[in-house]
Amino acid sequence: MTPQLELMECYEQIAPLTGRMLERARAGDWDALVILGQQFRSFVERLKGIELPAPLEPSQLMRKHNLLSRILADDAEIRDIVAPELAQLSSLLGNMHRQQHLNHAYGQ
Amino acid sequence: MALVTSLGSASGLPLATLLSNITAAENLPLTAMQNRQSAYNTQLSAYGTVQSALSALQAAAAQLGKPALFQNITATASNTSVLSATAAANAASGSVAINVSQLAQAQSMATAGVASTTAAIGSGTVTLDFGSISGGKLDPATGKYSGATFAADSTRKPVSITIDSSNNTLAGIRDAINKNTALGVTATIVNDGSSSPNRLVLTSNQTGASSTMRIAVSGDAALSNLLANDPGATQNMQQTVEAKNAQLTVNGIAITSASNTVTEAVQGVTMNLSGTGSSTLTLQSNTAVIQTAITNFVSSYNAFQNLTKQLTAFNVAAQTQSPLTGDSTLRNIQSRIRDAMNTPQSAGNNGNGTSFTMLAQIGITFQIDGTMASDPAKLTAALNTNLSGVQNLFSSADGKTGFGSQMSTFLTTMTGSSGPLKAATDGLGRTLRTLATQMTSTQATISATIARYTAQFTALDGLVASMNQTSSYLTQQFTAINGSSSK
Repeated sequence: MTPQLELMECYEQIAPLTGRMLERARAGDWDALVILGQQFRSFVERLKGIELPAPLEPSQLMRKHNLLSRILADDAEIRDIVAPELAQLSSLLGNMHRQQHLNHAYGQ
Repeated sequence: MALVTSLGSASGLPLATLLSNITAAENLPLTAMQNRQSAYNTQLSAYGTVQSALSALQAAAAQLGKPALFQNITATASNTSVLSATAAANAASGSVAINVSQLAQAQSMATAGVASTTAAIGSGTVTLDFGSISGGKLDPATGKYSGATFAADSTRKPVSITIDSSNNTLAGIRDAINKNTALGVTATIVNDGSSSPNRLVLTSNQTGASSTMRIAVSGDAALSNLLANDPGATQNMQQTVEAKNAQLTVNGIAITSASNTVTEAVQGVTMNLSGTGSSTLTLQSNTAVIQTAITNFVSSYNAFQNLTKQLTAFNVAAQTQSPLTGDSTLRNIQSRIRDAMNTPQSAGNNGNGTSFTMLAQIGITFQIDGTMASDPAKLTAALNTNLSGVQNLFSSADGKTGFGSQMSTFLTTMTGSSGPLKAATDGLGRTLRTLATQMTSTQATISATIARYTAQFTALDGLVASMNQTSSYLTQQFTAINGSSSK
């Protein structure tokens, strides 16, 4: 397999992966999202390691453009969903912590 | 807090305050339990105050329940130089005329004078016994009897002491006599100022005519000449005080007493004679003590009523309860006390007047607010004119009738270890223990929830951090295509 093909295969796998991540994020299935996110990251690490001896074919370039558009759109939407969830958790934890401290202070 | 700050800073996300309602929901059960816990503790201490108030009332009732309280008699002598007296519970009220013609006195005898208290006199055995003198004649100048007969008191055995070289002086004899308490006499040396001034004086420890001394000596003549003294025979000593009984009359009846403390000449009364003459002895019921006991009962009863009112109050305007509002245990005890106090006592056999069956008859009435009020004038009148009626109203020998006896018995049960108050506080104790267990487990649940949320937060925070990196790389790739560079 040429490095070009390997690169394209990587993008072909990342695109549906981010799609699934978005799906899980919309469903609030954070555990699955985190596992898919680790796979996403390892694919990107692989991408970084691929050295191209020659540029991609124009058709490959077009395909890569389309895949990257989808990937980046999914990525943005996933983070739009996760951000408020994180904020919620943060606030929740803060309040519960305060309450626990109060309870301990009352010796219960 | 520290945890949130560190986690939040990793993601670099703004922290919203969206979920205070969810937090409240998580903690709601715990807050509710805390509220219940403090309410139960308040009830527990309220029961404690009820217990104290009931114990005080029980003590006041118990005092009234004792028949002895009503037999409290005070004895008063009109002439205190003649006698003083105390009365026991079995004394009857009334007045008696006392006339004391003679006080009891203890015999005293003196030896002839001796020049030195430390010179040896003689040895031998000195035997002393007590008895009575009859017949004969006493010469007051010499203190000696002539023609008298001595009859020993057979109930008191003669006692001997030995005088030898260790104690054969006047002082030694004195000490030997005083050391032997079985002798029943006290010895002293009196100096009369004459050329042979030292005289040994023996005084009987008991008053009364039958405590006349007889002293026999076997041994040296010197010792015998000093001490041997038989009122019916040889008398070497001088009687300085004659043994005498107290002579008195009680309402004209002659009474003789060996001692000046005369008991039971009047039933239940102990008289202490202090001089001759006449006096009236008045025996009176001590109504002040009874009145105080009744007043004390009334105020203890009112204290309990007021406490109950305070502990069960319901504030209609504020819609707030008191610790024991609607508490059936307290309501039950209160109504049973009230019922008992309103149930008439049976009319007993009463010679002195009408039988009392209700407290109102002696001036104690129930007020609209449930407390008692007492009319001191009416109470005093009842005590002065019908003491036995008042006694029957409160006490009985068997403890079954009378408001004092009944209330004491009832309250002892109510406040006892198998009473309703104990049951109620035990129940509260169990509930509090269960609640503490529940709170601990709820607390654990909240802790577990926090741990879960923390893990989730950490994972998502890591995801976002990782996506920030990948995103920046992929954006570069995307920009590169558009700039028609290659990779």
